[in-house]
Amino acid sequence: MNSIYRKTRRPLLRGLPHALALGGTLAIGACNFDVVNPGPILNDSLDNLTGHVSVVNGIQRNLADALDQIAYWGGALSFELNPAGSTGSYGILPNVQEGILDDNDGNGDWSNAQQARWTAEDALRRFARVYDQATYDKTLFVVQAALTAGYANRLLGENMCQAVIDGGPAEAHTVFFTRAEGHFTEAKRVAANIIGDAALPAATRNTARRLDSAATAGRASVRASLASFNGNNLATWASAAADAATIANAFRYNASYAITDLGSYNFIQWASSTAARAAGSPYRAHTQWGTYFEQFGPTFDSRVPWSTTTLTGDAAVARFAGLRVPWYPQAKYTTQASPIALSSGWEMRLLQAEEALVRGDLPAATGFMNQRRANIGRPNLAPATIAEGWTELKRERQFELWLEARRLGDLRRWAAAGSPGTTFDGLWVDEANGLPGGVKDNVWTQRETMTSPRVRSVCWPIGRSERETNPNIP
Amino acid sequence: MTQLGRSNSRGWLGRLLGSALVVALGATLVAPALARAQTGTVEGRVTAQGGGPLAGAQVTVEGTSIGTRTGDDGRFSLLVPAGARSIRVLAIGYKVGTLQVNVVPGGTTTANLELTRSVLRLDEVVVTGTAGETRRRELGTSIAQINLAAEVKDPPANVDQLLQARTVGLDVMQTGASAGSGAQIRLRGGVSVNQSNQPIIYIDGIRVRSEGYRRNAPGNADFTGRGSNIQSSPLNDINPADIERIEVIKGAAAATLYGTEASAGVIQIFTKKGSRAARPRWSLEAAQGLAVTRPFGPDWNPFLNFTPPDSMGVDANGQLIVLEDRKVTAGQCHPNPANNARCSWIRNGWRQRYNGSVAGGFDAFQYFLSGSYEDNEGVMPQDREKKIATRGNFSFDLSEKVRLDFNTGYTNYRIVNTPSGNNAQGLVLNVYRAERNYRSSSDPAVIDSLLNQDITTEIDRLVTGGTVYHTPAPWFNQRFTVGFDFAAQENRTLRPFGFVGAPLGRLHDEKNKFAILTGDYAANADYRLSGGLAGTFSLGGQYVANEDSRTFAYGQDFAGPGEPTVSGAALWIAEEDRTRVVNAGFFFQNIFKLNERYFLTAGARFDGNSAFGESLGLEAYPKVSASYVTSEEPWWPDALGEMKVRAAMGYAGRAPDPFDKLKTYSPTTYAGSPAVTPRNLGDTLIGPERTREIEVGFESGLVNNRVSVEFTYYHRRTSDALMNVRQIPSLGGWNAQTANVGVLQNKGVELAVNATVIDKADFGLDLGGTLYTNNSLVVSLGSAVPFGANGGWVQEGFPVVVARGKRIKNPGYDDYSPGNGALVPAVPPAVGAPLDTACVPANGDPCASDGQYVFGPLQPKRIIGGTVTLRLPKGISISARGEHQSGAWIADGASDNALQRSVIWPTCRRAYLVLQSDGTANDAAQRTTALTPWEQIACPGAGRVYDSDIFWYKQDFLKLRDLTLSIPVGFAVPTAETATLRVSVQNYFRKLYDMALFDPEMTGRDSLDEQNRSISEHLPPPATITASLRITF
Repeated sequence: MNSIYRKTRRPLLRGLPHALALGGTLAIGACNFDVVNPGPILNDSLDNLTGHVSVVNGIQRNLADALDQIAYWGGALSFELNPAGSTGSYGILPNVQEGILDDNDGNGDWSNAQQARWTAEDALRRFARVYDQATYDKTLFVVQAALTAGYANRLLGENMCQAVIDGGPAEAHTVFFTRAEGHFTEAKRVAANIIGDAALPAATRNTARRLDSAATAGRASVRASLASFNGNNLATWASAAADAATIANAFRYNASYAITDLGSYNFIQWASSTAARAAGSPYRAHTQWGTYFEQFGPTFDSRVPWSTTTLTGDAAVARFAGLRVPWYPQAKYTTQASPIALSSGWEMRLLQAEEALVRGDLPAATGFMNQRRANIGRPNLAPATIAEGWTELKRERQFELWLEARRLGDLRRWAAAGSPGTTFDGLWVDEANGLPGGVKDNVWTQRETMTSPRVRSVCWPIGRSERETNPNIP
Repeated sequence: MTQLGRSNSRGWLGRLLGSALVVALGATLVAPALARAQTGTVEGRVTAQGGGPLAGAQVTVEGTSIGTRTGDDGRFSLLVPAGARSIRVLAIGYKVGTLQVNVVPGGTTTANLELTRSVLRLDEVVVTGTAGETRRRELGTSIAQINLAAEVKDPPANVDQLLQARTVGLDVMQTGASAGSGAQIRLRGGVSVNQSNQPIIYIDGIRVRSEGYRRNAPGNADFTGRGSNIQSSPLNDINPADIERIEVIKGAAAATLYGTEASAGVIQIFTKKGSRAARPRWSLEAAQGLAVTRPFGPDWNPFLNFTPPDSMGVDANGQLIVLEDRKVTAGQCHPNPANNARCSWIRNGWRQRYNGSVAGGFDAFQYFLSGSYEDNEGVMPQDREKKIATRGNFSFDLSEKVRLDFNTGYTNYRIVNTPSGNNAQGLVLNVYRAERNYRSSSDPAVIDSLLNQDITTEIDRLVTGGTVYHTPAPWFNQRFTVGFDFAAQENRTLRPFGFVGAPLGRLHDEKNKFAILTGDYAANADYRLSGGLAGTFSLGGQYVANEDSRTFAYGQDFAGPGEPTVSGAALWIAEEDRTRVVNAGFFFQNIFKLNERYFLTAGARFDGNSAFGESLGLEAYPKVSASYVTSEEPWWPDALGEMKVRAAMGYAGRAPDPFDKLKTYSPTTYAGSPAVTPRNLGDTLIGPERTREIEVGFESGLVNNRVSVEFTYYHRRTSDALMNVRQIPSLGGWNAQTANVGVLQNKGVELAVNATVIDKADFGLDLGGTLYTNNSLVVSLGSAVPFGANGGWVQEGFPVVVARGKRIKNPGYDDYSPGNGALVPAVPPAVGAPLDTACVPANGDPCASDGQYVFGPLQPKRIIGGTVTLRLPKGISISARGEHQSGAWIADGASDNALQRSVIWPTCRRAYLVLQSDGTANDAAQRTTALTPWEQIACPGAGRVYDSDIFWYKQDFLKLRDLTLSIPVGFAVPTAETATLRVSVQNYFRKLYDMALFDPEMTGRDSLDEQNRSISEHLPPPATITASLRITF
C-alpha cells in the first residue's frame, strides 16, 4: 500500500556530492535493512486459504469484545445491574452510573461495535475477492462471516442511536437492522447450498445447519425490531415469527469468552461475581442491590441468578450519596469464559409471543411464554388482558435476555411502537430513606425510573472519534 | 513467518568477547616490549593564577597519547619517554598551559604550571556531535560538558540525580518514590509527539540503550498494572563514580552526524581511563544516607493516610476526627514504622554505597578498574535496590600510531518493589483510599495483607567494546569502534498461594533481552590550503542494530503453598515479542579554519533504517555551522574579555516503529482458536520525522574572565512529524496509523551566567544562573485530526501536547494553597455560584476542537537555575544547586481516581464540613448553594455530576536539587593523598505553587518516554541525605 499521507518524498540524495554518496551507499548497502520482525500478521497473507479460519475467528472475537462491554454498560443504563463502586478498570464511569452516556464515554464501545461490523463485512469482501463464485457459494467461512456481520449490525441497531456505514453520513439506526437482515439472509443462502450438497462432509453440513439456525434466529430478531420501528407492522412481524418458529427451544448461539487473556474475559463476570473474586479479581463493581430483581431474592428465577454477600462494593458510589453499596453479585456468568447468548430458542418463543400480542392473540402469546416458564419450573402466567400480556411479555424478556445487551433495544422499540404494558426498570429499594444502609421498611419502592429523576440514555451516540475523523459527520 | 533479520544475541556476545580477548592478549604481549623504552618521571603541580591547586586538570604530553589528571591537590605524575617534551595542561575554566621540559632517563623532572582564567575553554576538546575530537572554538553549536573530575567531585548515587539542574536546557524529572524509578530526560523540551523523547546515549563511543526498561507487570494474562508500575532507566546502571565527563548536545543542529534517532539530543558518557602516573592512584569511598519522604498532603494528613493515626474524617458536627476504624492498636503497626515512633507504611530508607577504583599504567598500557556496591532501602516497606557495578577500562599503545581502548562495564541491579501505582492490589492505592479501598478497610493489618507479594526485577547489563585509534600521519587519523550493549532483565511478580487477592496464587516471570551492536568508523584529515586557511575533512559510517526480545510466562492457581514455578500452576499462559531494527549510515564533514578564529563547518549524514517504508530509500541530514572567536581579533579590546559567536543549522531524525510501514493484523484467539483483528493500515513511504534546528548564540568571558555568559537562541522545526492519524471507526477500527503528517516547532533561549565573585587563595564565591525557555507549537497536523497523546492533546495552533480539560471559571475551584496547612481555600470561594465551564473562543478562551479548555503545555516553558559555591579556608566548601520550573501543567489522576469513587479526600474537606454542618450528611440541595463549583463536581455526595477533566494543576515548583558541604579531613588519614568528608542533601527543600497534594515530579506507568507528568497512586520522589568519605592515595 502506498502512503496515503505523504504525497511526495524528497529526492534520494538531494544533489549532494555523488561520489561520496555512492561510496557510502555501497557501504551501507551491505547492511541488511530487510528485517522481518515476527508477531503481527501481514494483511496479504490472510488472502491465503489457510488464513481464513483466523479471519472468521477474528471477526467473532471482534463481535464478542463489542458485545461484552455493551452488555455491561447497557445493563447499567437500563438498571439490569447497579454500580457498586469501581469506575475505572472493569467499572462503570461516574456519569454512566448516573445513566448518562455521551459521545466520549461511549466512544470505545461505538468503535468496537463498528469494528465488529466492518471486519465481518470486510471478510465477506475478502472471500468474494479470493474465491470464485462457486466456491464462495459453498464455503462455511462465508456463512460464518455473513452471520457475524448480521449479529454485529444487530448489536449496533439495538444499541446505537444512529447509524454510520463505512465513513458515510449519519443515518437512522434502523439501517443496521436492514443490513443485518441482508447478512442473515446471505448466510442462510450459502448455508442452504452446503446443507444441500450431499457430497460435502457430514460435519460441514451439520455446522452449516447450526449456523443456518443462528442466522434464522438472528433474522427473526432484527425483523422484530424492523417491525417495531415500523409501527408494529404485521407483515414484518409475521416474517419474524415465521423465522422464530423454525428454531428449537434448546437452540442457543453464543459469543464465546476465554480465561486465557484479560481481553477475552467476560467483563460482567470479572467485574462482579463471587467466583471472580475467588479467582483473584479485586473488583466488586456492580450489584443487584437496588435492581428490580433484588426484591424477589437471588433464586427467584433461574434466568436471573445472583447471590447475597455481607460485603459492600469495591468503592463508594456517588449516585448513592457517596456511600458503599451492598454487594449482591450476579451469578449468571460464573467464569471468565462464560458465553453471552446472541440468540436462543427461548428468545424465539418470546418473539412468537410478542407477535401474537401484536395480532391480539393473548392465549397464543401466553402459551409461548409459559413454555419457557414450565421449562424452568416457574408457574404459568395468566394475563387477563392484552395489556397484562404485554407487561408479562416485557418482564419475561427482561428475565430471559438479562445482561445480554438486548434490554436497551427492547425499551427503544417498545417505545417506538407504542406497545402497551409496563417495564420495571429502575431503582427499587426497601430502605426507608432510599440509601444503602438505611432502615429497611420491607416496602419496595421504585425510587428511579428510566426517565426520573433524569432521562437516562437508552442508546450510544455516535462516538467522538467518528465525529472527529469522519468528514461526513458534522 | 520467516524471520530474516534476526540474529543470535548470544552469538554476538560470544564473538565480540572472543575478539576482544584476542586483542587484549595480543596487546598484553606487545606492551612489555614497548615499555622497554627509557623513561623518566615528570611531576608537578597545577595551580590557578593567584589561586589554589587545580584538581582534575588534564595533563598530556604533546605528540603522544600520554596523559593523566591532577589530583585534588593539583599534583600529577607521569612516566614520559626521555627527551625534550612539551607538557600541555588543560583545566576547566582556564587557558591551556604548556611547558617545555627535558626528561632524563630514570630521573624526575618538575613541571609546575600556573594557569590563567579562560571561562570559554576554547581549546578544550569535545567529541560529541563531531567526527573526531574538536576544539570548542571550532564548534558552531552549544555543547554542554559536565566534567566530573573537576566539577562534580562527589557524584550522587545515580546518573539521573547527577544530571539534575546541571546544565541549561537539560530537564531531568524524577518520576516517583519506588525503588528503581528512572527519570524523564528532555533536552530543549519534547521534540516528538509519537516517538521517544529520551535522548540517545553513548558510553565511550558505544550506542547503548536509552529507553526505559520494561515495566515489571503481568502481560495480557492479568491486569497490566499488577506490579509497582515504575520504569527503570538504563542510565542508572552506570556508576557515576566511573564517569570522567558527560557531553550533552541538545538538538539536531549539533547531533546531525548521529542522523536518525538523534533529534531528541545525545548524551555521551566518557568513563575514566588509566594513566601513566608513576604509581597507581587508588580511590575509596563510603557513603551512608537516608531517603526521606517529604510531606505531600495537608498538615493534618501530611502523608495521605500513610501514617494511619493521621487519617482524616469528620464527625457529625463537622469536626475533624481520626476515624475509629483507622485507629491503630498494638500489633497492627507495620513492622517497619518510621522512626519507631508511630505506625506508618513510610520509612526513612537507609542507603549505603561503597566505591573503589584504581587507575594506573605504564608506557604502553593503562588501566582503570573499579567496583561499587550499593544497597538502598526505599521509603516504602518492601522497596530496596542493590547494585553491583564493575568496570575495567584498558588502553594499549600498540605502536606510536595505534592505540586500542577496551572498556567494559558490568552491572547487576536488583530491585524489590512494593506494589503501587494504579493497582487495586497495591499498597499505595489502598492506603490512599482508606476505608473505601479494594479491601473495604483502612485497618493497617488488613492493608498489610497486600504486602504478601514479591515484585522483583533483576537486570544484568554488560556494555563492552573497543576503539582502535590509528594516526598514520600527523595530518590523518581514524578510529574504529565496535561495541555491544547487552541487558538481560528478569521481571518476576508473585502473589503466592494464600494471597488475599488471589487465594490460589499467581506468578508471572518475564525475561527480556535488549541488545545493541554498534560499529562506528570515522576518519579525519587535516590540510592547509594557504596562509591561515586550513581545514579538516571527515568521513565515516555507523551501524547500529537494536534487538529486543521478551518471553513471558504466567501461571495461576497453584496446588499449595511454597515457592512456585509457572509450570506448577493449573493455568499457564505465555507471550513472546521480538523486534529488530537496523540503522546504518555514513557522513562526511569539512571544517574550514581561517586564522584559528573563523570556522565554517558543513556536512551531511545519510541513513537507512529497517523501519523506513520500503519505498523510501536513504534519508539525508545536512548541517552547516560557523563560529567566530572575535576576542582573538587584533582589534578586540582586552577589556571585553573573550568572545565567540556561533550559528548552526542541522537536521536529525527519529525513525518510526518497526511495524508502522506494514498493513497488519494482530494475532489473537477466539474460543481457543487462532484469530486476527485489525492492527495497522501501514504506510510504505513512512520515514523518519525530520527535525531542523537553527541555533545562534555567543559565549563571552567578561570582567577579566571572572564572568562567563553563554547565550543561545534555538529554533526547531520538525517536519514530516510522526503522528497518530486516527482512522474512522466505521471503516474498520484500525489503530491510529503513525504517519509523517505534521509540523512542530520549538523555540526558546538558553542563558547561562557564571561569575567568580570572590577568588582568594582560601576563600571564594562562585555564583551561577541559568534561564531556559521553551515555546512549542503544533504548526500543522496535515491530514490528522486533533488527537490525544501522552496524556494530553495535540492540535494545531497550540503547544505540542497540551493539557486539555474543563476549566471552572468561577473562583474557588483550585484555591487550595499548599502553604495553607489546613487546606482551606486561601481565597473565600464563590460558594453557590452556578457552574461555568464553557470554553468560549469569542471570549478569548483557548479552546480545543472538542470544546474543552486548553490550559497549557505539559512540558515546562521556563526553567531558572541557580548555583552557589562558597569556598572557605582549609578547603571547606559549600555548594548549592536549584531550579525553578514553570509553565507546565500536570493531571492529578490519583485525586481523580479517588474522588470519582467517592473516597474521602483532603481537597474536599471544606465541602464535608459544610455538607455536614446542619447534621444532615449528603444533602443534595446544599450542594448547589453552599459548595464551590469545583466542590460541586468533585466532592462525594448526593446530586454530584462528576467530571474527570477538572484535575489539572500548574506544576510550577522550586526545588533545591543539591546542597553539599565538603570538608577535607586529610589530617585524620595521614597516609592518604586526599580525604574528603561530604554531606549532601538532595531535593529536600521545595516550594509548590498550585498543587494542593503530591509533587509535580510524579508520573504514571511507562513514564520515561511520556510527554506528560501525571500523578498516579505513587509516593512522590523522596529527598536524600548522604554523608560520604572519599579517600585517595
